[in-house]
Amino acid sequence: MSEKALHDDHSELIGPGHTLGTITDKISEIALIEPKKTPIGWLAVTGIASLGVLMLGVTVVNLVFTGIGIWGNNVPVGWAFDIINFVWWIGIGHAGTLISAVLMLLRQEWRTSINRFAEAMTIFAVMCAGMFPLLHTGRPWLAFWLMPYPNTMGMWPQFRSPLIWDVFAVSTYATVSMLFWYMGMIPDLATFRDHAKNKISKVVYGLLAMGWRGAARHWDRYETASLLLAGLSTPLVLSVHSVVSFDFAAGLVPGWHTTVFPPYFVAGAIFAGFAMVLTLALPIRAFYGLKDFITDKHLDNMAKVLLATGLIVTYGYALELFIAWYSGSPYEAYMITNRMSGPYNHLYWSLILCNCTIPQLFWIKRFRTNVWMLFFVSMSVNIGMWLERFVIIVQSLHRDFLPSSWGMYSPTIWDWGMYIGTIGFFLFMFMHFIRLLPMIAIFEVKLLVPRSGVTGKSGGPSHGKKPGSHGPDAHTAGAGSH
Amino acid sequence: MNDQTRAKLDGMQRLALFVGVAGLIGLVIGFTQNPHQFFQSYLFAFFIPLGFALGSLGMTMINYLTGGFWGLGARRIFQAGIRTIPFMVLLFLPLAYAMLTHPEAAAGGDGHGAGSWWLYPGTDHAFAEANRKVFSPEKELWLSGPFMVGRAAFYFLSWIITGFWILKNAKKYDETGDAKADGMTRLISGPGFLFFFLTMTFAAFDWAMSVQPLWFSTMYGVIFIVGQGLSTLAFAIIFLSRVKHLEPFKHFAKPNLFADLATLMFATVMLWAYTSFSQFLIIWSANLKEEAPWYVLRTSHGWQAIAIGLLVLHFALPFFLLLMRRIKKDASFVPFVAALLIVMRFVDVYWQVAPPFQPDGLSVHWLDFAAPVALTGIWVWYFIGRLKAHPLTSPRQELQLEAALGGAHH
Repeated sequence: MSEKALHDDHSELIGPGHTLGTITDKISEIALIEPKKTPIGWLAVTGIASLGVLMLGVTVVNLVFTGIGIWGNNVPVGWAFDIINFVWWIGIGHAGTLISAVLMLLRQEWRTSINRFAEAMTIFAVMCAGMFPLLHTGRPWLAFWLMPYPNTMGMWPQFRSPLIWDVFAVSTYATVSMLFWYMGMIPDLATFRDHAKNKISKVVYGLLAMGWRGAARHWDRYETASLLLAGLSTPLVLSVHSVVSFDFAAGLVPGWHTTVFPPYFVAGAIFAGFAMVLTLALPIRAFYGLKDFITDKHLDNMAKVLLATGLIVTYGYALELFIAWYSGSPYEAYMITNRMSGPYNHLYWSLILCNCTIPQLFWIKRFRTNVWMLFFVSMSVNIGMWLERFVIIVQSLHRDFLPSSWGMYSPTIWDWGMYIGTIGFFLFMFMHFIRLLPMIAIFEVKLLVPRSGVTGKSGGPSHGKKPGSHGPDAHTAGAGSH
Repeated sequence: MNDQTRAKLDGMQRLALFVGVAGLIGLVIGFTQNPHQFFQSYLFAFFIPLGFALGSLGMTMINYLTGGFWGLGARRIFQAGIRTIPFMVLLFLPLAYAMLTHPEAAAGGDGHGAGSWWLYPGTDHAFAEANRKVFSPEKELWLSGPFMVGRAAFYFLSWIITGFWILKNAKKYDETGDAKADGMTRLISGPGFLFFFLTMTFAAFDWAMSVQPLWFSTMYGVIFIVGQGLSTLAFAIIFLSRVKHLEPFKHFAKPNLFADLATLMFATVMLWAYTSFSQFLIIWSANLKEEAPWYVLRTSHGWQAIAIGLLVLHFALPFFLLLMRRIKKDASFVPFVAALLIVMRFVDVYWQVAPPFQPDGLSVHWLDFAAPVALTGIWVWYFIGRLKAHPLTSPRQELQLEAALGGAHH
């Protein structure tokens, strides 16, 4: 580590000239702006997203009334868009917890300005993900049968099935993420309450802030609770996507059954999650002028995470190839050949291009801070990770055990409708989040200020103390401006 | 380094040499009595010093990439570890011999341990012929002795080049403060780690997984590398605890350094459990005849006791101990946890590679104790020699440590 890095005053993590007051003003004005002054851009994007929500509504209504026959799923491809999109969304939902929990425990300070909206993204992504398996059951009103409870039918879920573990893993993940997200917002909601201009906002933010006054005791409990939740969330980052990978790996289908799946899925999830964080952060940063909070340093670090996780994913692909050959199993070998030269091979090669080749651009520092390049690579990863799930699921199934039942899969308009609909729903939720809630953790960003050499109104008593050190005094000081 | 430190290191080195030589004498006697057993014991014992050496390389690179006080405090230990990689080539020679030569086929090829090979059935043409359905001529070539040794040479060469290239730049930075040299250490570490991970994966396939050449697992390399990281962290903790009161270690080998290293060790323990259990679960639930026998062998005929032992002592006990922050910071207790983990590393590797050699069930030979004692002893002796040969600190490193301790740590 260089001396420079050791003496890092975090000036790279926050723009120059900020005081505690300007941070509060800058971030809270985005949400507290009068309804009539809502930016046109926000209205336009939300409008388009609303169309997506409508599409989702229509699709779901038709699906529930007609049945899942409207999808393209068939025999042998019994899992298709429903599971692809489930895994894709769950993967995207990983960055939030990783950033807020793991990076918090690792004391990586650059997480502060991106953690809040990464967490929000997580929650909305998990919502989208959850819809797919629920609706795939065909009778979502009976979804509670997935829960083990004593019932008159004498029926229990199959506890040996990873699909049931998924129910627990995903619902735990959703719950803990939600708690973490909401709890983290409480101090900022109190700031909003204090800064809100109209009556309704004051009441609503006041209720949500749960009587937060910024007392030392509040901060102390807050710190304990966040550490506990971070500790709880960390294994969840690993467990959720590992369980998702068991859905495949515990089976026998060549292309699904390989032991490296759990860590490789987790890495893939982080890869996809960071790509989506970048995809969302770049336009927001430009639109709301948040370059002082989401600095080049943040972009650079996120690009490095993308590069690293992309390489792990590539390692997974490479091992699959090698072991397929090494094992001497004709079925594994056929699966690989079929991937590379079968009817879906263009998707395989596209995924290699998107996930393995294009991210290598990030070896070059200039590209890691160029917003257009970042956007290009993150979009390519979003697409690549979707293709990866398509290849794993559909391509493995369409040539299954009985050659006489080999088939092909193509999605119907309802498959697409539901997929695009969830993207609309996701954007819709996300746009409301940035419009109504503190999308950057105000009090955490404030902790960076005293060390960047700019003294705020309430001074900088957290000198010599690491921002991540979570002393209650540091937080009280940071929150002192409201 | 002052006299006191030198005396302590000399004493430790002498002890290591004494233990190592005693073990080596045992190995020589064992070789003359039962060469098959010699190779089998040697193989598993080899992997732990290898883990110390290569784990040091991996940890150094990770630290350059991510930063952190833990790596700064343990830097000299990791650097000396890297300097032992060429020595590992020497220790590898018996394995190379086992790859290249076949004993008289007197024992007969019964498909188990005692074929016409020393350790690697894949090097034997008769074995390949007998399993032709899944053992293609290309795979036979891949696992043939000369190719295996050639690959090993390539792996070692790549590790030595990466390691010493980093050391060269680290030294230059320590001596001159050249920012470019400092940048180079990090620049090498990115692709270096990637390359290390790949080559080590294949080394694990070649040297350990191929004792059962029909079995395969894509997770194997990951488990192996995680094990190396764990061994290295445990070793660093133990070593630091022995010298923590001496110059220059006493300035930074404080409870928070132990806590940081122990936290990493804790994470690695979990990672080990996670990867090992995932592999087991996936193979158990699929229950395929190509894969399941590996676990069947290791959970029967007495080996199940070791499997349960691993679960309890390699995971559960260290997990609960290291969960407590008080223990992580306790520089006099945490080394015991580290020592337990090093012992369990040996047991784990033994459980991974030895069962196919003992088709009639677990039977521990005295060489299974002599070999790890010999190789670890001799490695520690060489390691301390490398540590002494270079300055234990530099003004620049002191400055860095001071900044890390004063500014960023709490």
